Amino acid sequence: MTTKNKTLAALAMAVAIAAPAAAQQSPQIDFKSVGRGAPVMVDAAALPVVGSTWQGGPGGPGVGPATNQPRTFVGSAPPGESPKGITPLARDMFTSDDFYKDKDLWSDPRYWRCNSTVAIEDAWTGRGTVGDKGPGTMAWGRCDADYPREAIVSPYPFKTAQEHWEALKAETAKRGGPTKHTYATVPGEWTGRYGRGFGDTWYGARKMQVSTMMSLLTPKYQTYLAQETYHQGNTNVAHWQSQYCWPEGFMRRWHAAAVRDHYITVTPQQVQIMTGVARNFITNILIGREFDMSGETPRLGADVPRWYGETIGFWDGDTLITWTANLIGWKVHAGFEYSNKMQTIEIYSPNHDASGNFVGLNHEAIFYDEDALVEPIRIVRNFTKSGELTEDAPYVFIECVQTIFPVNGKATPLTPGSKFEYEVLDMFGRPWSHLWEEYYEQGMERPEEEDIFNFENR
Amino acid sequence: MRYGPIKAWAVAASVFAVAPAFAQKMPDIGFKSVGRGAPLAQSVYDMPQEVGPNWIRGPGAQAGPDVKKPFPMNGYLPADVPKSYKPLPRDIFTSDDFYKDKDLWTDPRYFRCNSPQATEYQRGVLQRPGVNTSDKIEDAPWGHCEISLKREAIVSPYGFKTAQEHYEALKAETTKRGGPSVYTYANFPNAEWNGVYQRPGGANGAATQNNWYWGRHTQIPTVLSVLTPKYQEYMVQEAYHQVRGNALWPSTFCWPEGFMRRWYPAAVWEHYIIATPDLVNVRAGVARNFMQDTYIGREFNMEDVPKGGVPRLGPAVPRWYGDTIGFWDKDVLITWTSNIQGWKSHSEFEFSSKMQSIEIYTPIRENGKFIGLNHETILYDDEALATPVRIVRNLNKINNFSDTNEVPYPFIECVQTIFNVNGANTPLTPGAKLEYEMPDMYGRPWAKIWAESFEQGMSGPEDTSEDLFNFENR
Repeated sequence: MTTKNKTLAALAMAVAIAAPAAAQQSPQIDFKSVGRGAPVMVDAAALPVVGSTWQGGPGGPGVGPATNQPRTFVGSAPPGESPKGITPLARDMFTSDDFYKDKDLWSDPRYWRCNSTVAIEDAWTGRGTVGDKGPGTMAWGRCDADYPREAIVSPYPFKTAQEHWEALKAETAKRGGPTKHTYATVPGEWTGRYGRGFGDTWYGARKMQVSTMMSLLTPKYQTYLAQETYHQGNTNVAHWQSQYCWPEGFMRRWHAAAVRDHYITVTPQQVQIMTGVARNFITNILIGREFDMSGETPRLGADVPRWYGETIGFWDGDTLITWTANLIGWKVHAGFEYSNKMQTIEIYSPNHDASGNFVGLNHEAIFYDEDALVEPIRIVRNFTKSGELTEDAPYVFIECVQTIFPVNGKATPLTPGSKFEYEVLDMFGRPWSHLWEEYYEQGMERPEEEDIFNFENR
Repeated sequence: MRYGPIKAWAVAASVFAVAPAFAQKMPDIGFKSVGRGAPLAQSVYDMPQEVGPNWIRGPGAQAGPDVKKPFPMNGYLPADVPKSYKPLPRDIFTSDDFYKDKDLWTDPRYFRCNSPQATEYQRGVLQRPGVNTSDKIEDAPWGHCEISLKREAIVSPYGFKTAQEHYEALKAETTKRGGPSVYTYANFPNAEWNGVYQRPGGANGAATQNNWYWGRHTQIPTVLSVLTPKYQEYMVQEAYHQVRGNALWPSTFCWPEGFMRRWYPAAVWEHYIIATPDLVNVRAGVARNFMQDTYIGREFNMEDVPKGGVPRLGPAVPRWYGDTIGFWDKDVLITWTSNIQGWKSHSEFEFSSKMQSIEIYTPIRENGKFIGLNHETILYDDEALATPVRIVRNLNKINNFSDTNEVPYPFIECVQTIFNVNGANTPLTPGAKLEYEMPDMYGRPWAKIWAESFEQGMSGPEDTSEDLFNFENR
């Protein structure tokens, strides 16, 4: 990290730590655990939005109904300008013709003009801040704000999900568990609908510099993140999985735009969580099961990765502790890609109000992925129970009907009867990347990747 | 329905008369109900053989040296057809326009006495090699004209015209019996329902779930007889194209399977059931997921019904697998599903968005031990069905979720590898390019492909539907 970067990072950290810490509720736990319930260091909701954006205005986007007030700019420099006190880089993602060559600049927030991945994803939309003269006139976000990396990485010392799981299980055993529930004792009050909001987390990516997200990733996955960010903000070619009815993938479950209400069904043997918007996310937690450890990754069934993995769990009283493995690596737009090695430890703890009434669940997730992550990370969020399953609209099981297709490498809405040249994509070979490479990276110096099917390399 | 022309039907009747009446047992519910538990008029298990034609082959059986007859056939090559069958001068295999043959559709000979499923065997679209080993479609083999499950065994034995009537009658009956039972977690008695139930085609699954809807034991006209004219035409259209090898199955293209494929053996494997006092969740699937969430104690919003709409729980938007409500009568779950997206089920009939079902899940016990669920379904669809029909099957429980050998449900995300290229289902590898036409998924996309690729010059259907988007009609 350059001296300039260190200064920016320190400034951002100072802003973050100064924010109130309690709003993003930490799990309610009455003992110090080896691997759960550590307080959330920084509440994302208390931090300012990092990226540049337009708010409000007649008929314009923003919070609340349209008014006759002019729209307002949020950021440090509007389109076409530079922020005071910041020296822009000679070359950044908005001016570069080859982001691969700029690898040494990716850790500098100025390469992204101090924008978040979400602000860059929005760059070409109504609230986006690309100026009239194209990406080179992209506005600047706040260089003095950031979600601190220290609050993202796991507060626990474990290197693997297995270590973490075993430590939690041992701790629970010492506490007299795991608890074997029956219908009469299982927390049936968990069964119900949980409102679509789950609180602002760092993973919403509106409060975080791109360079901070980069710092969580291994070099290969940094390249993937840079590639997506470049195309979303520079070439204006987004490839989101849900627009093509591709699977959302495991980690989109934590992204606010991919899920709405969560429907939870609790039984002593299994806990099921359903949610989704464009596609379905289903989490089946099998209580009391053990993984088969004989293959590449822990698993329950066949040695074939599953889009949403396989999950085992146990109860410690009214807390549910789970381990997910055997999932398919994929992407999260405005987030980062992850590999088949991704595993999670997730803890669901009941939240109670001052009177002791159950009001929802704290969901703490620690992510392990030695291919994608340089160290484990954590996301904490809170689900508020909004009703019983005996009330209101049921979960809508989604069958996505594709209406947007990649035509000449660009997402294009079509109507029935439209004809175009369709290329069959390799769904297990980063299909989004293929589209970018084929149509929008001509002449770029892309690093070589290992070709497992090239026998000359054997 | 004209069964008269064929004397073979008399033969069939005599075959069935000697079979045990209720071999596929319904559970003994201990009382005579107004709308559940009625015995089957005839069970497919009582039938000595399938209609055919199909190869007689056991698991792993290798083909013999004669490529024209690699296995023994359950059925007849045209040259071997019994004289009593009296082939028609024009049938589905010789016709150049099935639309013109409408008057023949009620005659099993028009289909050479093929069962619905046999239409998928003819050219090997379901299982290779096809039973028609000739390069001429008119050489198609025959099934057994003397065999068919009785129509009475298909139609609902209850007198209800609508699912609503049926549900209300069952609810009133349950009320008289002291119900519906309202459970909490503290007193929930049906924990034993939780677990995994055997797949239909698995080792012994076929012995518990086989029913007429699998399409092996009926003549095609028997099924046509429960359909309205429009849906008869849809079914014949599919049969016509399938026997020529031009099958268009939703799952081939990663399209939704649709509500009724849940009863079809090839579309589901194990069933995973989660039971709670408020919700019972049934999951199954192979190429796509089937999800039935029964919301216990809920009532449908009926405001659209007087205007021709359907009962629903959420917004007035049909759902691929509908909305389902239910109630407990002690350990029996009685459900009503509505607000379904109309679609198709290949080798069986298409259905409309008016489709509704009453489904009853009744525990099966052996010496008092819970061993599975009897699943009785009565289907109502006043657009597609001329009369309500019933499907009964048994789901055998094989695992608890906590069993170490239980394999979790793999939630399916279908990745398309087969594409329609000039009407032909074509497996393609990544990098292949094709001219792709975006289908209208709510306008029978399979029919459009058939019409464009294989129905040039046919008289075509009489389109009596209103074109909502034709402003000249306004």
